[in-house]
Amino acid sequence: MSTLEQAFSNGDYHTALKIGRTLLAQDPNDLQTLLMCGASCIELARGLTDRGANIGAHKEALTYFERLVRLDPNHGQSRVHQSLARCHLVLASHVKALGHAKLAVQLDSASAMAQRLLGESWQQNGNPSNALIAFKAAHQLEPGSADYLEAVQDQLHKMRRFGESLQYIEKHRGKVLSDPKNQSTLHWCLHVAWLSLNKVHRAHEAIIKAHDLTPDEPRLLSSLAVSYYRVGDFEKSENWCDQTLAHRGTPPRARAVAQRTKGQILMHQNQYAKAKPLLESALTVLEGDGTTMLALISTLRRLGETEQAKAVANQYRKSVEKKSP
Amino acid sequence: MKARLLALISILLGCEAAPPSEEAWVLMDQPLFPFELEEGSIPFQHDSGSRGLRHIGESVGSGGALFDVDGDGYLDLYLVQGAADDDVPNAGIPKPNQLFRGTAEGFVLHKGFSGYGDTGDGMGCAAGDFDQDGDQDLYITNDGPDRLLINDGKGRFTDETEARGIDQPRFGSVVTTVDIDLDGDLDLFVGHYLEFSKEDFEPCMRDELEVYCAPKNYPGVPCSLLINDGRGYFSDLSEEAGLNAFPSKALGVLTTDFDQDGDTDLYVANDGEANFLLLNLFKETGEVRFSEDALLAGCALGEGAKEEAGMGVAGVDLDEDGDEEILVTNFEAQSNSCYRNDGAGMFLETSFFNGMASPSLAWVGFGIRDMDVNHDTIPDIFVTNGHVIDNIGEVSQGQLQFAQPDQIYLGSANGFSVIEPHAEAPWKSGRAAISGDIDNDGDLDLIVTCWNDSPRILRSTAMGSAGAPVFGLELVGDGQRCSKDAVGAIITVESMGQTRTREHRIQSSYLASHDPRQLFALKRQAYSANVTIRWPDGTLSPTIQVKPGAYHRIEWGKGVTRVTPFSNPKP
Repeated sequence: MSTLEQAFSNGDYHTALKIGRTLLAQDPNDLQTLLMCGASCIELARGLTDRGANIGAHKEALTYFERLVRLDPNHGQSRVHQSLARCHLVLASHVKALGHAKLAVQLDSASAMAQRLLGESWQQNGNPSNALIAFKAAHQLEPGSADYLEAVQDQLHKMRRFGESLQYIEKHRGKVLSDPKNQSTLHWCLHVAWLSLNKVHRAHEAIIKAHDLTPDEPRLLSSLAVSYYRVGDFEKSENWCDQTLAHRGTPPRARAVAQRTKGQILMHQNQYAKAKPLLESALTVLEGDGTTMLALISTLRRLGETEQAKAVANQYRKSVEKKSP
Repeated sequence: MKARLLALISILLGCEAAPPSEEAWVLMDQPLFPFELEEGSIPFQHDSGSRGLRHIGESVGSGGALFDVDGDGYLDLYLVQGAADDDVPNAGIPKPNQLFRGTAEGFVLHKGFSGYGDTGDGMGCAAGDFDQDGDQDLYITNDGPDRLLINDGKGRFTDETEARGIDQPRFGSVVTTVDIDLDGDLDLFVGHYLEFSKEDFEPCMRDELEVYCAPKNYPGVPCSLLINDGRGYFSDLSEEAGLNAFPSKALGVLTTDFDQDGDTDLYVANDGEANFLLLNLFKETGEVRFSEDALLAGCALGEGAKEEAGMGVAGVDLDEDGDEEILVTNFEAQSNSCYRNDGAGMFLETSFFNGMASPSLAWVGFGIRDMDVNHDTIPDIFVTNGHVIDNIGEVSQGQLQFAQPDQIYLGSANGFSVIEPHAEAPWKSGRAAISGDIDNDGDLDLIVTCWNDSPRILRSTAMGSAGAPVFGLELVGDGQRCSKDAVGAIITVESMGQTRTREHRIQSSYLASHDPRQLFALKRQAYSANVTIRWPDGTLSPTIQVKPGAYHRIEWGKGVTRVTPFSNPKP
């Protein structure tokens, strides 16, 4: 096994990419190196929270895969087209993404990932019905994967078919693999489904179960905080806000949601001075978020900072105008 | 158990209270919400006007009024009727609005009443003594020209719409009486819903099913302000008041002096748009003019900064701090709102903190009425729910229902807990909740109008079961410094260390005009209460000591002029 392959299989994508770039400088037409470099870029991108960096990684991946296809148009690998579809999806080249996703499915109709990418491509091309067909096909191919179940749910929710979403989950939940990760994702899906049907207590039960199964999953922490807020248990909500903020793996958006929720709780405890910095910080990430802005307006007014409150109100009005068609 | 309950509720935390504890749930699990449901006792079937076209206006009607038309001491009931567009092939003959005479036996049609039967596509109405002749007249909002009906005191009405300067052809929804310019008569604030054109109508689809379109598909229409000249002749001052700058989708309006500067302000609940807080500048400027301040005040939007589907409104002082909170019913997935009034023009949405929010998320709220259901002196809230999309069951694959339950948000020191007052009865799609003491026994009954269905009576038996002392007030102005109906007067009741404040208004809820009398329950050991009235002109009445068991008529400048004992409650 080459050092490039070794680094890749060890999950050290940074080293793999470094080696691959050096190898390509010597032999820019080596197909295997192009493939490994492209794959390394995509894997690296998964861990990037910065949007600009993420796009950059996909742009680089695209150059490797496109070169590979130019050099070997008859490669016949579904995975290459899947990667190209993924790059185009990230770069918002909708039509190209769809073309590659279709080819990926043609080359390997049994690939759930190819079907999923086809679904995402249809979604980006404004065809929700075809997207749903593809997502369902992906899920049918791998019914044990709760990720594919979640993709179907996402699409149904985008189509506002909330009742159908819950029915679909209930129908297929028995086939989901029993490991904690898949079961946690299943309960996350149930949480989202019940929430969409306004059954906040059922939704709350589901997210607690999801968290019990994967206590280290960071996306659940801020959602737990919000869920406790929703059912009126503000002590626990605040506690989960604190845990979210303390967790090193919390993504910036989830962190901001926790700051906002904690800020709201403090507001209702008349602790406006403590609420203010949390809300201001949340707003830097949740740009244009109405809930945060309204909470901040109320807080500033009660702190006697009326002019600042007016400024935030104007900011809110502008953000609403911007969103209006 | 009762002693514990009293101890529990002796401190009212109102809007900011924490949700009910387990103990509170146990305590509240008592039969303290005494309503008897009477179905089919009012011979009226609502016709929404729906004939399969699914025009939006069909989905939101209709309301009514409880008022004493002929001065016989019993509340009569006016119910507004919808109508199909006359060019619809299967429109049929439009049914008129109905006036039922209140009697000891119930509501009956009465040959002596006449002239009330408007056949417009009706929405709401307001009763009031517009011409100040001592009886109650009617203003009716229609999807089409509104009507003004003048009463001769015996329930014989004359349509004097045009003669008295009313020209309101737009889609009228809510109407409320208010003395905006403090000149001692009743002005009218008319909410308009939206601008709908049959010619431009395009059906809305959801998953290949035709559904009623959402209000966002249509432009809004400004509300109207009609100023009374003191004799019941009106001028439209909407433009001068600045209202034309605010296109609305009004379904609910609340009148109260939000900024406590001595004149009456308005809160407008808009369907799918931010709500308005229209602060009346009359006291400061001497001119009829409003400034809109809801966003900065904190009462424009719901929890989550949603532009909610505001429908019904109520105002009640939940935290006993002398000003009223604003309550608004909203669509499913939007909690009913409770904007806590913090004074100085500041509100805070607190529904998730007082237990109002979560139980409301699953339902589409319409009529809302603050009332002391169980006579424990703590305000409770009645809400009637009902969806607007008649085929929502099919659309949602059975997850949502068109007919929905009524709810009572039972107040306690720990916030609200929710019960269904008649859980065993079939659900209907509720609209207006009109309150009044229809049997004069000292407790507040409800008439709930239902979409394309018959109305319900929820007859309170609180007087017979709760055992708390209760007194009633009937306020009468002099017609010069205070309108005859005395709207805008502030009532303060002190008894056993508890002070409650209530603004006297007649319209609230959803398309509803209530019994103008006010009822107050007292703590069980109380033998009397001290009542002070601040009349709309600022005059403070001398404190009056009232005894429970009767309605007390208090006239401006005269004090108590009549005491009418309650009738015997039903066993």
